[in-house]
Amino acid sequence: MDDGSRLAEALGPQLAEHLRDRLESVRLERGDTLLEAGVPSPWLHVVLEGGVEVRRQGPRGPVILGLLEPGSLVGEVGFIDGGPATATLVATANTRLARLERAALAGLQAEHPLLAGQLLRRISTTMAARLDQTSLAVFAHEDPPAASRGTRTRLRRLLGRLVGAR
Amino acid sequence: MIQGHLRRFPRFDGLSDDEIRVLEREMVARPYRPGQTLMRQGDRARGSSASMFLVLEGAVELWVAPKDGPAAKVRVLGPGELIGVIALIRDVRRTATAKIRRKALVATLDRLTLDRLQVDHPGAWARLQQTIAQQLAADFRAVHRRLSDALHET
Repeated sequence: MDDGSRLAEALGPQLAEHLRDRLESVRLERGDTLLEAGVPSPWLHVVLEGGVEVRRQGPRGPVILGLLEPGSLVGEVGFIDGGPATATLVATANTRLARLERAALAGLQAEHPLLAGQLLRRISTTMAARLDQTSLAVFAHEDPPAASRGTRTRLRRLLGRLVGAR
Repeated sequence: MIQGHLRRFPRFDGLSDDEIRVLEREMVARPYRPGQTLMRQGDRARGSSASMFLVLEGAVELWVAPKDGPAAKVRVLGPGELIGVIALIRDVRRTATAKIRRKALVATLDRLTLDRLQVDHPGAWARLQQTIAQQLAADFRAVHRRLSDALHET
């Protein structure tokens, strides 16, 4: 799949077309860090090729929360609120990304409010989906007796995988 | 009534007078008593019944229940915060129950109106999308803090 298709997958065709020449390109080698947990980053990234692992620090070393594949948005929370990255992101292979700086959003809103709204909606959809998955796991952990057996099993598997990693 | 509140909330900073007037016209504010419910987890949020809520005054509790388990209070939201945006964005059932904690004034905006704003007032619509994204970012950070605690307890 070419870069245009990946961008369209992540941003929708109209927005991808408009932003295409305004995006910067980033190349990472396997093991390179894209974002560091706790450090602010003004960039919204789209993975074009390769992949990025999402890590948090656990009591026994880094814990892997997920893998972001081509067509995924990355760094959306910091792009929206300007706050620090919620996780560390590390390339799992030679990886190419496209990125848009936070400051570009204000210009987009002034000149093309519809496209700005579409971008924000895409980002919200991504955050809502990731929020749903994470909330369930956290809730079941905090109150295990209240969680169903299926939820507890899924959570144990999740946390086991997280904490067992590395 | 809504205008004065919107101007005070940091998330609505930078809205033009026109945009504020549009939101004033399209949002419906009503008072609620403690114990009343804005939405219930599992309810369908389709068509015009799908609304998001903006707390203008008071406080609202969010309760989440896992499948087959009792609900637990996960957050208390106050003035300037949005509730119920996930179902509006993803077309899924409500993911939490929202109960009034303290006497509250809450404004609602339904999906049909939001979609109409996109066509009639794209500027105001884009600003609302930004407010929704900021609420989700705040929710995301709250959940991640709890995930972090969970990881360090395991």
